[in-house]
Formats: sequence, structure tokens, C-alpha cells
Amino acid sequence: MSICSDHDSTIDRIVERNRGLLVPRRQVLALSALSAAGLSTKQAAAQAAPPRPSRRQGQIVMGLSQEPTRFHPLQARLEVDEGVHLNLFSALWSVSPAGDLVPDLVTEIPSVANGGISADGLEWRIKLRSGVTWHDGAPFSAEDVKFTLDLLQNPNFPAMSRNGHALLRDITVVSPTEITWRMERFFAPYFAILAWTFIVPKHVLATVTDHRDPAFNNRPIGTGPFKWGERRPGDYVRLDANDRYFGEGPFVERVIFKYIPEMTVLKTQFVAGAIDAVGISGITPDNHEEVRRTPGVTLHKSPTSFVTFFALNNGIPQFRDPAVRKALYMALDKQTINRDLFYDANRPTESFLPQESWAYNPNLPLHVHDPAQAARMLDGAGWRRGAGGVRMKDGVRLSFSCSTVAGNHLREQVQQFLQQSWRPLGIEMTIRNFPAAVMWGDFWRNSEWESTIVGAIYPTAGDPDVSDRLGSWAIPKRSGAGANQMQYENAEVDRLLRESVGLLDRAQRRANYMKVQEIVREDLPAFPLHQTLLGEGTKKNLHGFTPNINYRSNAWNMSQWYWSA
Amino acid sequence: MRDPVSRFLLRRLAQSAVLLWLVSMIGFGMLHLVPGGPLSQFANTPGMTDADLQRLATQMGLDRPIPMQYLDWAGGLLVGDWGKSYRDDSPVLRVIASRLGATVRLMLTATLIAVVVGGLVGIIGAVRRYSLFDQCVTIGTMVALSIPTFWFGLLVIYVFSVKLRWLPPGNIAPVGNESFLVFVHHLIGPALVLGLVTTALWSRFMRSSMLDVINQDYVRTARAKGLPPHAVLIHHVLRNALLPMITIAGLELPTLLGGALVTETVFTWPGMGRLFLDSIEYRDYPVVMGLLLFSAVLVIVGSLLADILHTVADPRVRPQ
Amino acid sequence: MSAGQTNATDALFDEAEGGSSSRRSPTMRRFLRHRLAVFGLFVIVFLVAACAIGPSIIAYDPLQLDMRHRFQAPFAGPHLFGSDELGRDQLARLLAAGRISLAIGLAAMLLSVVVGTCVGLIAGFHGGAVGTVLMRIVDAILCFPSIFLLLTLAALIDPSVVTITLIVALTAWMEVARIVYGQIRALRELDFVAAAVTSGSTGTRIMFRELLPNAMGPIIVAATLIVARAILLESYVSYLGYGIQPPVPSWGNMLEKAQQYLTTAPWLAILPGLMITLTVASFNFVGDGLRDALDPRSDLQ
Repeated sequence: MSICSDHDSTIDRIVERNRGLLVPRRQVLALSALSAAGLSTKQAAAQAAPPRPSRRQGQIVMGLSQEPTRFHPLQARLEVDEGVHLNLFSALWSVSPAGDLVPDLVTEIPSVANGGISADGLEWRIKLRSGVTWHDGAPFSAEDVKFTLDLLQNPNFPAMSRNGHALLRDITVVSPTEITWRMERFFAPYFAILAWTFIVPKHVLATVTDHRDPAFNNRPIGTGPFKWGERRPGDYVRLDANDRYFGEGPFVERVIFKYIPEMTVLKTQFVAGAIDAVGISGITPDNHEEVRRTPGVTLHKSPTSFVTFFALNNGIPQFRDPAVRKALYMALDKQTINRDLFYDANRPTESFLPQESWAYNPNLPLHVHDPAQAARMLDGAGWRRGAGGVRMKDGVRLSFSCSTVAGNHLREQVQQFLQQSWRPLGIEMTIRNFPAAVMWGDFWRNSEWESTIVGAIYPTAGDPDVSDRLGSWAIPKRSGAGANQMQYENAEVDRLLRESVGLLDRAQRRANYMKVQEIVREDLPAFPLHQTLLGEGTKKNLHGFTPNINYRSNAWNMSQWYWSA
Repeated sequence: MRDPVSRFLLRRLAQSAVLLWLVSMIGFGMLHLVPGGPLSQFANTPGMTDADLQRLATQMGLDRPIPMQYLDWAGGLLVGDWGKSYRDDSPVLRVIASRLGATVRLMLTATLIAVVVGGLVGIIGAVRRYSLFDQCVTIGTMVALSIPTFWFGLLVIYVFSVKLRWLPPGNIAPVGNESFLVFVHHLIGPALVLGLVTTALWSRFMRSSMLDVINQDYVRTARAKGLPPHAVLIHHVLRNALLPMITIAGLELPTLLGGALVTETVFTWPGMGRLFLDSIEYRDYPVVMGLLLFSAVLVIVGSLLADILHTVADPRVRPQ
Repeated sequence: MSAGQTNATDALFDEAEGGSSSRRSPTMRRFLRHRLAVFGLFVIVFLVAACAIGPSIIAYDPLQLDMRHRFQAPFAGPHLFGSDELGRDQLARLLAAGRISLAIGLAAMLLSVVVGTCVGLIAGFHGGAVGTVLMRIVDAILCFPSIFLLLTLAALIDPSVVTITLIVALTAWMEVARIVYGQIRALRELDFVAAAVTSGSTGTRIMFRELLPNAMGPIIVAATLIVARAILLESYVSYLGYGIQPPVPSWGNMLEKAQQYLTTAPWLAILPGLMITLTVASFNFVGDGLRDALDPRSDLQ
């Protein structure tokens, strides 16, 4: 269960859990953490940790193999930046590991039942928490929310995304604790989008005209559990506990995000005890065993929304024939790839959605590895072996290139393995890898690639709307504004996606997304390999770490982390 | 006498300015003409669509013609504005300055090792030419110059960090423990690796410079006058042999920067090399350009200083 | 590239001649007296032969994956020198990689020598504005530390054997140009060139018939050292993730892939590193020996 649509039931549950109390999100989450999807009972038992200390104690050093550099939470950011934002800023509401919306700056999640949203879903009324202060002591009010939503519309402001926000009209501040707006049309994913939209201070930013002025980036001011400490570029970012935080916590004096550019060195320093927790990009699967054997530390296998695909460019003639796509998938030894190359560290999947999503379809047909049958299928479809043993049909050679980021060892190994698996079937795959900036530039956007191994997060903050990825109107190569670089096209999928974002009822949405997953599994525009389980680590006496599939960083609840003696 | 010197200086300065202009053009053209850009990193960000990317490109001015972008950037440069990093909006000079310290410390240590060890080895090699020591050093330095630096770095980490656990596997210092001893402990590995090649070079330079001087007439004369060998060595040979080393120092220091890049990568040392690699990766054009110009300035200033020092120190090369 | 390997060439040139050679010795004899150079030459010949013939003798295909025999240690199973992360034979890969690395080294050398010689010749012979502009461009490119230049270029292109060769050559030709330029400027002043000019020979003829042969010695030495440098540079580019792409092995990319298995399968990193060091050192030794043998100064002493 997650976000929105049948918000009535969602809200009911939250209200019930909160029993009318305005319990801050982090505490709610601490309560609900045990029931979080993806945590086995054994893990849950391990989580049943000693009680929290009565006062703040110690610091947490989290090692990251990417460097957080952007601290304006509305501008373009990477997941590693998001980990810092989540501790500096607050949103209207947050998402729990289970996918529930939890009030953060609001007192209640708006729904039809509580009058926060009109029956047609167009009129929104948001009630804000009072007594919240910014890190600099200024009071937080509805003006800040309006300023934030307006800023996202400002044509000069380099907003990361305007998806959803562009639908807002008549944003009106009713009182310091109440704000209303109208939506151009009801857009179900907007609940999720708001969970990823951090509110920024009007009194600091209203006077900023040069949006590339680094002043705010060098000293961001938020309402979150930690306030800005200092940044040493190329080394670390330090956040200090916010005494004025409206919620519970934090339970440590400060957190330090330490940049260690090599994952191997990161692991080594963690094992040696110089680092308390390993964040993005985790511990590589081949090192899990070593970490597991190390006394004093815990290895977490955190589920993520990341699904790794062998994706096809469905716009090129080689992949037009469904028989080819099916045969390729059948001849792909998924088990060996996941077991031997990825050390069994991930969760094989058939869907583009994570298993934790409320719209995940568990009944998709399982992959079968049968090269002989694949060959027969190609024969049957009229693909005959031609020059050099490569199959041909109607002048099209069954030959294509595969591109991924040069230097990504595991993906390069998968490429070489697939190259060898497909060759005997008369399928030729060449490897053409590029540096990341080239791979993900025009080459990717304009669908100049032929096939790729790519990890992608399809949902936004847990909402299963995948219009940007699979809608035929979202193909950038054809001037579409989305992220459907695979050039996937299916009229029925289009219809279902269009319909779903306007639905208030979540059961209906779920049924639609189930159907979309079925069709996509049949069409195979991309071969799903696995859902990534990220290997992360914490020291044994550090408590509170809770993976949350709905955020891109598991530093999301560091205000609840604490040390036991 | 002052006149020709200042004229020489002026000419060199003018040449340097032209060089810098060429460097900036070549660098800027190279960077911008190739595929990929600073927005590539957001290609797979959930919630971000192609429309968002296009809008950001326009807002950042990335969709304008490259000559226009160059003129903008170069115009800023002329008034001292090196631009802002795409990654954190900080002024480029501040970004570079924040990493300079770590790199300088590493380079100075490596140079110190090189000058002391390389110099001594070179002097002994020249004095005891063809001895067993000299031959071993000749082979040793050549092998040192042939080892891929990063591989040597990996071996150092494997032996001293993984197996023996004597040295930390990298990084400048753990957070909150920045005492001098801890810093030195972290410095040993990278300084050793960066110092190896430099030491080999310096010893070769030193040896050949010494040999050049030993064969000069005045040394033979001094020797013939019956001066004790060590006096000849110190007063005549060493003094004159050090002269060309000044030039080499000027030319060598900037190239150390390149070596520091690889070493910093292996040991995750948060210096300029690491910054360059990250900036290339994220296509942070202003910072990459800043670093290219910065290193070009180092090279130019290095050779300028070498020339000046050489001119001052050696009357024979003074311009007429 | 590492600390001043850029200047390795200079270092070798700058080193004073040891005076070991006798006045009457032919070039060959002087070279043969340089034991390290002979050793280097022997190693190179052996390596070239091994890389040329080896892959066809060895029972394993360097590209053949074998998921059941991954990470076999050397001398502990069917693979003599062990197997890699995809179960491929390490020896077969080392030899196949040698082909690529040596080919890149030699091709990059040829390219940079041709380009550098042409630029140096033209600039040196004509002098004047053309010469100044050409040499200023050379100076400008030399202002970039070569690893910076290489990385920037490599980050920009589609990495393949051909493009990597090109960019390595692109960072090496300037030194040849400088050497040739210096030689030509010096030679121009000499009597026989002046004689040729007054006798009415054409510019091209003088350049290629009179000047070039007399500058051959330093060019050959530089060429040898460039091979060494090119092999090193290829490994640096590969190490930083911008080099030759799989499945084609090169010593550089084998090292890069081996890095993450340093603790569990160190042989994967040690062997290609040794091959690079051995090859580069051999070329450097040969260059050293050639310089001794060809340097006209040694005749004067």
C-alpha cells in the first residue's frame, strides 16, 4: 500500500495510527519500520534494538562513493545530494518504507474524507503545522510553501522538474497555517511528487535573482532535523543537530557525509572501523561475504526501486519482430547472470516495478532459459542463417550493438556473457561502451543506441505511474517530453497509463498497472534482470537504519539513528 | 644591461599570453565539440523528463553556439571571472583553491624525496661511475620509469595496507582525527608512489649533469692544481651541476601535477587530480577549463622562472 | 601519466654520453656493447614473437568464457597462469593483449613520428611566420600535462583500438616536432645545406634528401621511447576507465578490471603489470642503447 488515490483508506490508517496526535513523521516511521516490506522477521528481530539514549550522543560518519555537491533541494540533484536534503529540509509529507504518506510539515494528509480535497480532486486545502522554525530562527509559514511552489514555476529558476507542479493554479495563502490551490486536472502522482518536494525559506530566497548565486548552496537553511555545519569540497559535508527541530530527534550531535571515491576503499575503511555507515553506492556484491564475516558491523541488503534491464531500442528493425525479442530473452541465462556474475545479491524479477510497490504484479510469467527453443522460434519466424552464421530476414541482419557505461565491471561482464550466449544462435552482438557523460547524453536521449544494460527507477516516490517511461508520447527522439528512450509503443498501455493518472481510486489504478505489467512482460521491450538489493552497512551498535524503497537514499531517517553503549 | 633583460622578459610575457590564449581555445573547443554534457548525469533521474532537461540546457546557456559560449567565458576570464562550477555553483577559482592544499602537500613531499634521494643517488652514481652501485641504479631508475604508476600504487596498497596493514589504504585522514601524525601516516603511500618516478628522473638528471661538469676543463684544472677531491667535488662540480637542475625543477614541477592525478586516484587523495577526474566525469566545463588553464599557467610560469633563474645564475646565457 | 614520464625522453637525451664507445666502432658495435639494450632488444623480439605466434599455439581462446572456472589461481588447475573473472585463460589473454598493446605502441609511434617530423621539418626549414605559428601550437599543446590532455580526449570519443592509438599519438608528436625542429635549425646553418640552397635544389628536396637523413638519429631514438610511452599511456587511459573496450584485452584494461579483485585474485593484477613494466623497460633500454650508438657526440669524444 502506498501513496494517494484511495487516500481515504490510506489517510484513515495514518490517522488511526496517529490517534489524532501530531506525531512527527520520524517517530511514526520508527514505529512502522518493523512492519516495513522487505524486512524479514529475523531482520526485524535484529532491529528490536536497545532503547534510545536520553540525550544526544556521538556522531555518525556515513561514507559515500559519490560526492554531494548540490544543496538547493529544488534544483537538479543526484541521489547522493538527496540524502543530505532529507536531513536538512522538510516536505509537506514524507513516505514511509511501507509506502504510507506521513505528515511532515502538514497536520494531516489531505483527502476527500477529511475535506482536504474536493470530490473531483481539483481543489486542495493544506493545513500546516504551527510553531515550526527555520534553522536561522525565522518562523515557517504558508508563505514559504507558496513561495516554493511559485519558484518551481519561475521561468528563470533551474527547477529539477516541473512535472505536476505545472498543473497548479490559484495558490492562495489563507492563513499562516493554511494554503489552498486548484489543479488544472487531477493528477494522482502529485501526492508522491510533493513528498519529494522540499520547502525552501522565502525570507532567504525571495531576494535572490541570480539563481546560480552559490550563497544558499554554501549555507542551506531548512526546517529539518539537522542544520548545516560545514563542507570541505572533495572531502566531506557536516550537519549538526537542529535544536529547534519540531519533531523527535536527532539523537546524535552531528552527521558527517564523507566522500570516498572508490567503493573498494570505502569498504576497506568501513571494515577497518573508520566509517560508521556505508551509504551510496553501497558495498559491491563480491565484498558482501567479507563484510558479513567482520565482527562489529551489520550488512544490510536494502531493497531499492532500481531494476536492472537489458533494454532494447524498439525503434530499430532488428527488434521489431516479437519473435526476436522473445528468443533473445529465452536464450539469456538469467540465472547464471544473477547467481554467478552478481553473486546472488539481487532479486530476480519480471517487472519494472519493485516488489514492494502496491501496484507490483506478482503473477507475471517466469523467465525460462531454453536456447534450443529460442533457435526454433527464430527458425519459425523466418530468420535464416546467412553470411558468417548470422541470421537474416528481409535484408535485416540479426546483429546489434550493446552499450553501457565504460568501466562498469559487472555490466561489462554481463555483456560479454550475453555475447557468448547468443552467438551460437546466429545472433551477433557487438560491445560499444562509452563514458557516462557520452552514454547518457544525446546518444541515449535520441535513441542512437541499439541495446543497453541499464538500471532504472521507474516510480517517483513510490508512485507507480510510468507514463514517462512507457508512454508512446514520451519518446524524446520523436520530440516527446518523457524518458521513453526505448521507443516502446503500445496503444493499450498508452490508454491505461493516461487513464490511471486521473483516477482517484487506488484499487482501479492498481488494476490498470497490473495490466500494464502483463502487456510489457509479453511485449518485452526490455528484459528485466533483477531488482537491485543494495549492500549497505552499519556498525552493530548504531541503530535506526531502515531501508526505504521510496527514497533514493537510506540516509532519509538519520534523525532516528542512535548509538547504544 | 637592464634593458635587454627587461626586453627579454617582456617578449617572454607576450609569448606566454599568446600561449594561454591558444590553450584556452584548444581546450574549450575540445571540451564542447564532443558528445555528452553536464546534464547527462540526470538522464535517468526519476521524475525528470526530457522537457526538464531541455529547459535546463536553455537556462544554463548550453544550447547556444559554441563560439558565443567561448566569447562569454573568455570575456569573463579577462576581467578575472573564471566562471562557476556546474556542480555547486562555486566560483571556479575557489573550487580549485579548496583542493590545492592537498595536492601541493603531496607534490612537495614527493619532490623532497626526489631531490634528496634522487640527488644523492645521482651524485654517487656520477662519482663512482660504472661501479656496481651505478649500474644497479641505472637499471633501477629505468625500471622505475617504466612501471605504470597506478600499478605500483596498487601493489603498495596490496602489500602495505591489505597484507601488512602498516599503511591506510587511502584518503587524507579520517574525519575528526586530523593530527599531524595521522596525516603523515596517510601521506606515506601516495608520496612514495609519486616520489618513485620523480626520484628516478632526478637521479638521472643529476648524474648526467655531474658528468657534464666533471668533463669540463676547469674541473680538470682544479684537479690538476692538486685540490683535494672532495673540495673539487663540492666547490666546482656540485655547484655547477646544480645549475641545470634549476631549469629542470621549473620544468618538472608542473608535470608532477599529471602524476599527482593518477596517484590521487589510486589513493583517493582529495586533491586537484581527483577534482579533474570528477569534473571530467560530470562535464563540469568551467572547472575543467579552469584546471587546464591553471596547469598551463604553471607550465608557462615554470619555464619562465627556469629561464630567468638560469639567466641570473649563469652569465653565459645572459641576453646580449 | 605519472610524474614526469613526459620528460623521460628529455631525461634520456640530456644524459651526458658515457664515453664508453671507441672512435672507430661502427654504430652496431656500440649498440651491442650496451648490454641492457641488447637484453631489451631480446625481450622485445621474444615478446613480439610470443604475441604473434602464441595465441595460435595455446589451447585456449582468449575470449572464451568459462563460468565454471572463474578465478583459478596460477598453477592450480588447467589454466597455467590462472583464469580471470569470466573464466578466460590468463596466458591467452596476456598474449592477445600484448598484440593490442604493442600494436598501439607501434602505430602511435609511427603516427607521431610522421606528424612530428613533418611539422618540425616545415617549421624548421621555412622558419618565419609559418615556423613560429607551428611551434607556438606545439608549445600550447605541450602546456597541457599529457595525462590531462589524454583524459580529456579519451572522455570525448568512442573508445576503440584505433581512436586510442590516435589520441596517444596526438599527445606524443609534439616532442618529435621539437627535436626535429631543433635539429633542422642547427643543420640549416651548416655548410652542406647552404651549398644545396645555392646550387638551386628545391625546398622539398633539401628537406628530405639533405636535412632529414642527418636528423634521423635522434628521431629513431625518440621513436623507440615513444613506443614505451605509448604502451604506458594506453594503460593509464584504460586504468582511468576510458581505454580499450571489452571483450578485446589490452594490458591496460586487464589491469583495470583486475583492480577490484586485488585482494581475492592478485595474480590478475600482477601479471599484466609485469608485462607492461617489462615491455616498457625493454623499449627504454633499447632507446638508451640507440642513443649511445647513434649520438654523433660519442664520435667526437
